[in-house]
Amino acid sequence: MGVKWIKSLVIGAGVLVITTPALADKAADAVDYRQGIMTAIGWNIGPMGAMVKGKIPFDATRFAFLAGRSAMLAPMASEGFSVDSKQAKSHAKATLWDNKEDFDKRMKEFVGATTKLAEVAKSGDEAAMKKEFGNTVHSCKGCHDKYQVKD
Amino acid sequence: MNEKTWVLVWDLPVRIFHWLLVSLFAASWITATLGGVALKYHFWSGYSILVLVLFRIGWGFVGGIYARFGTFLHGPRQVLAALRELASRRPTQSVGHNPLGGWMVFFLLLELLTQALTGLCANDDIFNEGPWAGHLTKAVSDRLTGLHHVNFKVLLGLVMVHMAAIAYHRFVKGENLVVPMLTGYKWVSASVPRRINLWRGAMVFFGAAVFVVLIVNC
Repeated sequence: MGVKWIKSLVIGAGVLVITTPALADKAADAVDYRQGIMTAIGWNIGPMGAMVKGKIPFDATRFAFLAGRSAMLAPMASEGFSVDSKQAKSHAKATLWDNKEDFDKRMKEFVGATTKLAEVAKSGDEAAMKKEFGNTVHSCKGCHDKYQVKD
Repeated sequence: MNEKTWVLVWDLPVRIFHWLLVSLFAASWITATLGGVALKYHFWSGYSILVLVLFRIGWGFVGGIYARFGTFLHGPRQVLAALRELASRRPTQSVGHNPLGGWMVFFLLLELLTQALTGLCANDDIFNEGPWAGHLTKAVSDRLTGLHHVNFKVLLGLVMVHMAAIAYHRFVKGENLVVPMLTGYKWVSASVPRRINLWRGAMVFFGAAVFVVLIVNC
């Protein structure tokens, strides 16, 4: 009886030791994944921002291309914010997980904003593109301010 | 004590500095809250504040007598005396900044300088970054961005204490400090200071502006 008890304890501990890092790895992977997507979005937003600010000449074709890619990338990001990734070290504030519904809603709005930006960009109307770009980055900022840790 | 007269305690450069700073502080706050595309104006506002602060530091050495650090920064004994005096319901007898207000000016300038310099190194993680952020690693820029945000809360706290003190002087001590900051004159017993040289003020301001243009573009 005693031996059996010890045996199951040892096995239980073994399972715990093996699976805990595996779970942690999975959580860290999710963080890596979403940070990669965010970096990719930033990569595309950056030159559009430079055009809007007049730092580089406005190029409607390139703008439309970048806007299209942002709209493709935006829906991929939320996948990386799975609840089980909350244990991994990241720039996400703890309040994000308490307000997951609000966060998901904001993510949806962000996806909507990038989709609209990509659509407007097809028209080539510079003023409308700049205006819609403003709405998109406003959507970025809303979430960053609320849920991103600045250390 | 001398007879009371109208004394020019806040010279024109100090008054222009003060009210421009108030406007730009509000502008910076609003544009930071809006963020995104409006951050362009936040940058302009921040550069202008940096010019003003550098001007004020310079003016603290070569400005009118009541604008000088040497006149209004006092040691602990006077500060303690001013603290004790604070409880009385009489107007203060100080002509320029009292010893408490003087240190408030010092800390406000220090905080504004910190705010402006961390702002130059900051980024918004979307598409805006300060002119110095490109020279730094992302991690350092992020750290300074965090400091920029925390320091704003400290700065806002100081501004609120500053305004609360003005209200306290107005309603408890029966002393209006806002009107002198508009007109420059206070009804006090003090000898009338020498006239200040406005050209010197313009030169300090110009020097500060050129300096900021240079450091922003490097």
